[in-house]
Order: sequence, then C-alpha cells, then structure tokens
Amino acid sequence: MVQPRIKVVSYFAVFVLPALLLYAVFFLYPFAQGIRISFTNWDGLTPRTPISMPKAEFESRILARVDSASDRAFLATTYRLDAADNRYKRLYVTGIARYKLQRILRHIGYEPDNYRVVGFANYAQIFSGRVEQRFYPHMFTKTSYNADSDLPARISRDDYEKRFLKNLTGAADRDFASRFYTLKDDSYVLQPRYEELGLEDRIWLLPEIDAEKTVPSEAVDAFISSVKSAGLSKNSAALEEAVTAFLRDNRFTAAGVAEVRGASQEIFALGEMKQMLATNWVQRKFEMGVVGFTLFFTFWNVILSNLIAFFLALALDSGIKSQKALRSIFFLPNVLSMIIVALVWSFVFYNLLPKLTGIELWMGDPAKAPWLIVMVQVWQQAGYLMVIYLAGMSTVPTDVLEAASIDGTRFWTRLRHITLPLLVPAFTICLFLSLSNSLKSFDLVYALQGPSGYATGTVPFVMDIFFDAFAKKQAGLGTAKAIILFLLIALVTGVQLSISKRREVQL
Amino acid sequence: MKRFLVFVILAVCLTGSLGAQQLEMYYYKQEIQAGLKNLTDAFTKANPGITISLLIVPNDADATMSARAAAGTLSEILQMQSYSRVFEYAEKGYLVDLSKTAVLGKVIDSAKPAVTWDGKQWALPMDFAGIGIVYNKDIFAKYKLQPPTTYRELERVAKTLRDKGVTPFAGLLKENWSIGHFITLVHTTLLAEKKIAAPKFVADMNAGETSFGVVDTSRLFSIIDFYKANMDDNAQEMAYSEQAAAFASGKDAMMVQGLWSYGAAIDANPKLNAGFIPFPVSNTASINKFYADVDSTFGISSQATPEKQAAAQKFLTWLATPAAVKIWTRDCKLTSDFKGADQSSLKPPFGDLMKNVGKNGAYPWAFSMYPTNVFEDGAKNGALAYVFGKKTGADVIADMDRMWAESLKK
Repeated sequence: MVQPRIKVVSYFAVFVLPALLLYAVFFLYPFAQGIRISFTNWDGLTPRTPISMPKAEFESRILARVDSASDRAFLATTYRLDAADNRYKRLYVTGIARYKLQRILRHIGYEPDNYRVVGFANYAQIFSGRVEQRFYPHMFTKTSYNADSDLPARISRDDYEKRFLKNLTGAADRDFASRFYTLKDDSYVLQPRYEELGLEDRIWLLPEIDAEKTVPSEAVDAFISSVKSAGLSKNSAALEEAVTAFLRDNRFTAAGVAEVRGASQEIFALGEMKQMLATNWVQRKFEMGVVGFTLFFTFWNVILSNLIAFFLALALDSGIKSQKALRSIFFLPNVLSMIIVALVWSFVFYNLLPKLTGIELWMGDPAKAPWLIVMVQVWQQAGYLMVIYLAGMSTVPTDVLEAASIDGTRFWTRLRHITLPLLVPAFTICLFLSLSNSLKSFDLVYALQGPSGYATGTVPFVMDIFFDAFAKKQAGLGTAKAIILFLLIALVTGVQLSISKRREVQL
Repeated sequence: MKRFLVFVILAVCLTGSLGAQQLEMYYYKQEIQAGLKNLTDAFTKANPGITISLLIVPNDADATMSARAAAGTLSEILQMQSYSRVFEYAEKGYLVDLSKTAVLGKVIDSAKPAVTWDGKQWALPMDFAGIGIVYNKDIFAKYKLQPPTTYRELERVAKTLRDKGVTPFAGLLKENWSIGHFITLVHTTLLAEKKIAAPKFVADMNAGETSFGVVDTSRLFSIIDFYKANMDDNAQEMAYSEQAAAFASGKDAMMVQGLWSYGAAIDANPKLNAGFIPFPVSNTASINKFYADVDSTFGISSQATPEKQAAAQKFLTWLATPAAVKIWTRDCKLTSDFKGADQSSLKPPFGDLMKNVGKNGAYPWAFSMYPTNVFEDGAKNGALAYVFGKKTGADVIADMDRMWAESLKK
C-alpha cells in the first residue's frame, strides 16, 4: 500500500530519525572512538588533555605553541596556575569545551606519553605473535616436579605409570625408581627413609645446631643446599668438599661428625632420583590459547546447543500433553542471569559433584574445564533456541504434513523433506545467535573462573581484552584485539547468514 | 499569593542546595560495607550539611574506576589500594594533593611512603594489614605444636599435621591473587636474606640493573611447591570463601592470608580460636617478619568542584577523630593508621600482628610497588601457571623481567 507522502515523512521523523540518531550516538560514535584508540598506546587512564602539569613544561610544550589569540584565551579559562604548587591545573571540562581543548592540543601536536598514536603497532604486535604466548594456540611442556623441591610424598598411580615410568628408557632406571616409590592404595608412596625432611633433620637436630646453637643456621642452610646441588649434578667431589668445609668450620662431637657425613651422603643420593623425576615426569601438551579456546567454545556450543534445542523442540512439538509446562521448564535457565548461572554451577562443581562421583577436580582441572564451560553455556542457551525452533515448527502447515502421512511417508522422510526445509529461517536465526553469542562470550567464564582461567586455558577472547585493557593497562592493545574480534564476528556471521539465506524456501 | 509560594519554595530549595553537599564515596573493600555505612552516617550526624553516598565495586575495582576517570565521572572520595594505585592516579593528576592538610600530620610516619609520590602525599592511609599465617590455636594445642618461627619448623609442623590427617594449609588456587601475594612475600623475605630492601630492589628493577631472579630462586619455587603440596587436594577448586570456610571448620589448620579473611572465618565459626604469625621463609628466625603494609587509603578527586573537595576534606579530617577511629576499628574490623588510635576493640589476631610488627618490624608490600602489569600478570598469573605446571620457575622469572622492562619503555 502506498502511503501519502506526508505520512511517510512523519513516520521517518518520529520513528526512524530518532533511531538513527541513537544508533549514531551509541554505536557509530563509540565504534569510531574504538578504532581511534586501537591506533594508540593508551593505558586506559591517562587523560588526553593533562589535568595538571609543571609550569615550565606547560609553558614550553603548550602555551608557546598556540598561535591563535582566541585559543590562548580559551586555555586561560580552562587552566589556572596554582602558584603554591608551581603547576598549571585544569578545571573540569565537559561537552563542547572538552572537544575544543582536545582540538587545540591536537593542533599543536601535543600528545601525552601514554596516549600517543602508534599507527598499526598494536595490530602488528597481535599478528606477528608478540603478545603473550597464551593468546595463540601453542605447544608447551607441562612439568610436574621441580628438582629443587623435596620428592613428592605421593604420586597418583596414573601419573606415576603413564606419565613418568613410561618415559624411562632402561629397566635399570625403573628398578632404581622402584627403590623410592612403592604402590599403595592406588598411588605410589615415597619410602619414609627417603623423606628429605627426616634426612635433613638428622643434621638440624644435632645438639650443636638445635640446642646449643654453636653452629649458625645460615651455615647449615648453605651446607645442605650445596649438598643438594652436588646431588643434582651427581658431583661427589663437590659433596666431599662441602662436607669437609662444613666440618672444618664448625665444631661437632664425633657422633655429630658421623651423622653429618651419613645424612649428607643420603641427601646426596636423592639427587639422582630427583633429576630422573624432574626430567621424565613431563608431558608435551597442546594449549588452545585464547584464540583456540574461543573457537573451540564456539564450535561446540553452536553444534550442541542447536542440536539439543532442535530435538527438544521436535519432542515438544509432537503434541505431548505437558508441552507448555515443559517449554517453560526448558526455557527457565535462560531467564537467569549468567552470573547466577555461574554461581549455581560453581556450587554444583565444588560441593555436589565431588561427593557424588568421588572425583575432586572439576573446574580446576585443565582437561575438564573447557568442556564444563561448554556444558553450562549449552544448558543455559538451549532452551532459548528451542523456543525459536518451536515457533518455526508451528508455521509448518499441518495439511501438508497430513497429506504426506496419508500418502504413506515415514516420520523421518517428512522431517527431512518438509519440516527441515521450512525450518531454515529458524536455523538461520538460531545459528546466528549462537555463533555471535559464543564468539563474544565473557560473563560466564568471568563468573566461573575469573582471571585464573589463564591457568586452565579457558579464557575467551573478550575476557582477554578486558584483562589487557584494565588489569594490564594496555587499553590500546585491548581495543585493537576488540576490533579484530569485531571483524571476525562480522565475517563468520556474514558467511553463515549468506549461506543459510540461500537455503531458505518459500512455500 | 501564588507568586509568594513559588518564591518561598524556590528560596527553600536554593538554601538547601547551597548548604548541603552530596558526596559519593567509591570503595572496593566489600567486607566493610556495614561499617562504612555507620561511619558515613556518623559523619553526617556531626556535619549535617554533608551526606555521603556509597558506591561499592568489589571486583576489578580499578577497571571501573579507571573507566570513570577517563569519562570524567570520578566519585569525590576514592578508596584506593596503597602504593601503585595511588601513584598512578596521582601521576595522571586525578588526585588532590593532601600533603599540607592537618589530618596527614596525625598519620603514623611509617604509613606515609604508601601514599607518597613525587615527594607529596596524595591519599590518607587508613589501615595496616598483614599477610602471614592465620593458624588454628586449638588444633596446634591438640597436637602440642608451637607456632613455627623458621621454615624448618614450619616443615615439621606440616609433617605432623599431615601424619595426623589434618590438612596443613587451606588452599586457594581457584583465584590468582593469593598465590600472587605469596610469591612476592617469599621473594621479599629472600631479598632480606640477601640484605636487599624491597624499595631498593624495586628501584634497581626500574633502573634495569637487577633481575627478579636476584634471590635464591631454587628456594623461592621449592617453597611454593611446599605450600601447594600441603594444601587440600582440591585446592584448584577453592576460592577465597572456600578457603576461609575450610579453615573455619577446623578441617585445615592454617591459611596463608591477610587478616581480612579472618573476618570471614570468624563469621563462619564464632568459636574459632586463631592466631597470626609471619610466614617463616627463612631458617633464621629474625629474618621472618610480617608482610604488612598500608592497605586501603582515601583520596579526593581533583575533578570535583572546589566546594565538594572542601566537603570531602572535612570528611577526611573527621576520620582522625576518636569517634571515627572507634567506628572504623569496631565496625570495619580494621586497624587504624592514626597516631595513638585506640585499637582495643580488635580481635586477638590483630593484636598478634601489631605486637609482632611493633617488635620486629615488617616487610613492605613489594607487590604494590611493582608496575601494575608485573604484579597483575607476571606475579599473579605467573605463580598460578607455575603451580599448574604450565611454566617453569625460570619462565616465571624471565616473564617478570620482560614485563618489567616493557612497562619502563612507555
């Protein structure tokens, strides 16, 4: 229907124009600002126009360079000299005055050190692999034991057999290790006589050191540490040297001397086992990194939440009695805010699941954490997508389905050739929503893990941006990452939309 | 008549708004919400013209505060962590110089370095907090254990507890800040063993003349290993509240924490009988001191109008009065940084802290002096990555050095 021209104009003025204005103010403008910031080294705190500056610096760096008299006059109204401090201080400026001030300072080429234009430096840093390694997918060596520490009192059977013994080459090495560790209750336990604390205490508890204190503790510390390092390098000459020096410099009874010699010999002997454990109890592992985890999360979340939502919708659409109640139940998680969802699941992971299963580590286990996060997200999102699929299914005309079923088609054939093609618009919107939601996901992981997610390798892109901008005070770099993420989302969803749009059919 | 009424209403409104100052206080210490409310209410009672509304941002407090600073909407009164937070905002010009105010004269001298940047004081130090071992006195008495004064004694205590089936340390590895504190605590004490004071170390790092690995790094990381080995098996699942709960319930005998978490523990178990000792890093008892420093401070935003700045100044001045100190120590359960403050209402562990620090002195919070990036990422994430086996000790040191150098470049 063609509307009279006056009506079209008034619709535009009343509805479209304000919307465009709001769009410009709340999207285009901040977006342009974001692009600008991504080309700077801003630390997120430095103001573009200095709030206070020493008098001499202000005069040489700013006042001397301003040519126009009106600009000088303007500066005089915004900055006043605090004689007591010998500094120029800026009054609080807003709105037009703020822009005018920024314009003047830009014009004379003034830039604060932490708010300089650095061109493509931030982008170059990201694309050339020079931001923290954890941003990119990479291989790393997981070490489980540090040779400087005491031998662990207990090693789980899995760790000992699969991650340590397996890496030993000779039977001799295995025999050697078995002198130290024996299997007991599904974990390997260190023989008590190799416990370093006890061995060291044979020296520390000697009367000369513990009771009479004629030997200073610093000397004992230094002695034991040189015995240990001699042990790690299997250098018996160094051991002998350390023992001789220690006994020469400090007075011990004959029993004490024997004890020092005996105990240090045994501490020395631990060195070989420590070295063996430290070099062999390691694993080469793949770490998805921020980028990898975001893609992993997106991939599984899109697939799982859509699959589950679709089949839930199919089940509810079959006409079962409690359809409405079930629909509400499945939709309910979506009503909760992500923070509440995270709290509920934190409770489940910490209090409930360990008691039910006997497995202690859940969110804190790097192997499980990425999957658990996907699971919680799917749990929350599937109900929402289900409602969209249900709405889509209700538009599939029943007469066509009935006609097909009278013709003797089976359920799967009807689904494949009638329902699915007609549901493509629902798929389009659901895929789009889940794709863009997963790529920009933040709140769930933030609430479930916080910045410790770096340790479990489960930091999504947006959280990394947040960490850069606010904790690391690299707002410029963080914003550049945000722009890259924006382009990535635009690209992925654009491709997805154009593909699914082509598959949509009209009845 | 109507005109007259309008006039009267206008006049009332005007005088009201002229006299009254509405201030906003931005704070991050969530454990003192109720206490702060009492404090500001008492202030308004004493100064009827000024009201203070409270704005709490407990997590990532600085993210919000820096965003507000950049937008020009800082609250008038700002609660900030000591040292680098104060220095950062002072450097950028967001804070009012408080050096010449009378209230700063009432602050104990040892608290002043925490707010002194460029020779001037930019905030009012409020409380003194220590990080050390909070231990359960009843468990220690039950197994006839003495509070350890050397690392060796701590190792023995931990072994005895383990043998008795008690977990020595309540774990906290789900969040990265506590292990971040811990690595710098051990590091600072190891520096002292080498007779290097923390501020000297920081100055040398800033001059590019030393490395984070200047200490005995094999001990630094073996102490972290020891700490982890004596935590609950599921420490990776335990955050702040789980740690306090495990300690309060008597399941775990100790926790390495600041006394702020003692408050949470005593709330969970009012019968808890706790003491507080320095974490003994060294085998020489005299080297082991509390890791204690000024924790929170109050500053005034330079973006506020002069009238509001004056009103905020009035509040800071009032904070030093005995009435205010009483509310601060009793309701906020924090120590006070004012000279001669009456701290009698604080619970015993605070007494342990004050007595020990009074006698032996303390190590300053070196982490507050590190560049932001070095502590937030290098120390906190680095230490956690080490505990998770993702980085070796050498990696952690190298990353700290690299980040420190990067933060100087700008």
